[in-house]
Amino acid sequence: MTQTTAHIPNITEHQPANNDSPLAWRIWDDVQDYDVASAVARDTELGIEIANGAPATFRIWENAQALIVSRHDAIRPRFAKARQHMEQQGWPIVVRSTGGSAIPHRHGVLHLSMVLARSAAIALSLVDVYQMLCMPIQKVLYELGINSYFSSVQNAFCDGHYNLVTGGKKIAGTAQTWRSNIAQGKRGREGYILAHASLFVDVDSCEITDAVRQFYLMLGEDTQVKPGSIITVRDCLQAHNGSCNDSGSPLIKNIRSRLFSALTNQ
Amino acid sequence: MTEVHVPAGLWDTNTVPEGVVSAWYFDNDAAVEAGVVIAVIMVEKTEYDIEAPASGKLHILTETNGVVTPGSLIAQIET
Repeated sequence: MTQTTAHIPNITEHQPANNDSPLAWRIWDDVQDYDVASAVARDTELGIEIANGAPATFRIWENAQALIVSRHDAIRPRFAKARQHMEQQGWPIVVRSTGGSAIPHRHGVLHLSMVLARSAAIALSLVDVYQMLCMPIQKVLYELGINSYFSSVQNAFCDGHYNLVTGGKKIAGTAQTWRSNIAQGKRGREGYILAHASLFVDVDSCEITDAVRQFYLMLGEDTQVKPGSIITVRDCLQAHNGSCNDSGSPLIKNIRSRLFSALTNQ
Repeated sequence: MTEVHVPAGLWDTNTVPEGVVSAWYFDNDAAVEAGVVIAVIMVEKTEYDIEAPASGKLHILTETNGVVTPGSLIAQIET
């Protein structure tokens, strides 16, 4: 059963039809107009809400142009200078709580965040969480004729074994954080798990890769990231069909709608 | 003495052989309370909080940036 709740707009509460999972999930198509930092911070706020008893949540969202870096990047000696340089280039820097390295946000990149209480996930492994996060994305891609799988990709930015990959190229990046001691007045595992995926839907691979490379060059590291390691949904559709029929609506809107349906129907 | 382990089965070592202790929030021999976050493990683009399983004096066995696998003993707490 799916129903709209009154307290948060554009959010549904959903109990999976097969009822294998005891978790009731909120599916939130978050269209709120945030600044770039607030859009990222909303995931952490959700984590705190969920650690304190709110239902587990999938959040679909987009962000304006920014480079989202990990805390590991943010403590490097040349970070302040790199940040200033990138901001002058139109790439504000936001520090996130999940692991990995820098990843670009901008229009044409669709984000899916999955947040659940650690107390509800005692038996889960990191792999389980990546699979739960990516299953609905893989379903949407499959419907479009795009077969995706987990793999690392040489020369891809923010590389990891749990990238979503098609034809040897990265189409989505993923990361997680498992936080503890978040719930008020409680200790131990009363925290949250936040897993996040960024799906490259309709974006210039060269521009976003160059932004990441520039950032690391400013930190004193030549990462050798290459745009040919990245592929977008638009690239795939054009390769399959010879053209990309948006049916009168932008591709990102189409994919967003499909992802929402995949989540509410799983 | 209470042992502090990286949870067994946290990740698949066939895919990702090892992680690292990315931070300790307390110094060696510091007093810690049960349940507080004492360390962070970094593995496969995941930051994972490790809590103190008991209150007492922390004895760090794996330093920051030290390699860990699921089940690794990383500290002991003298209760």
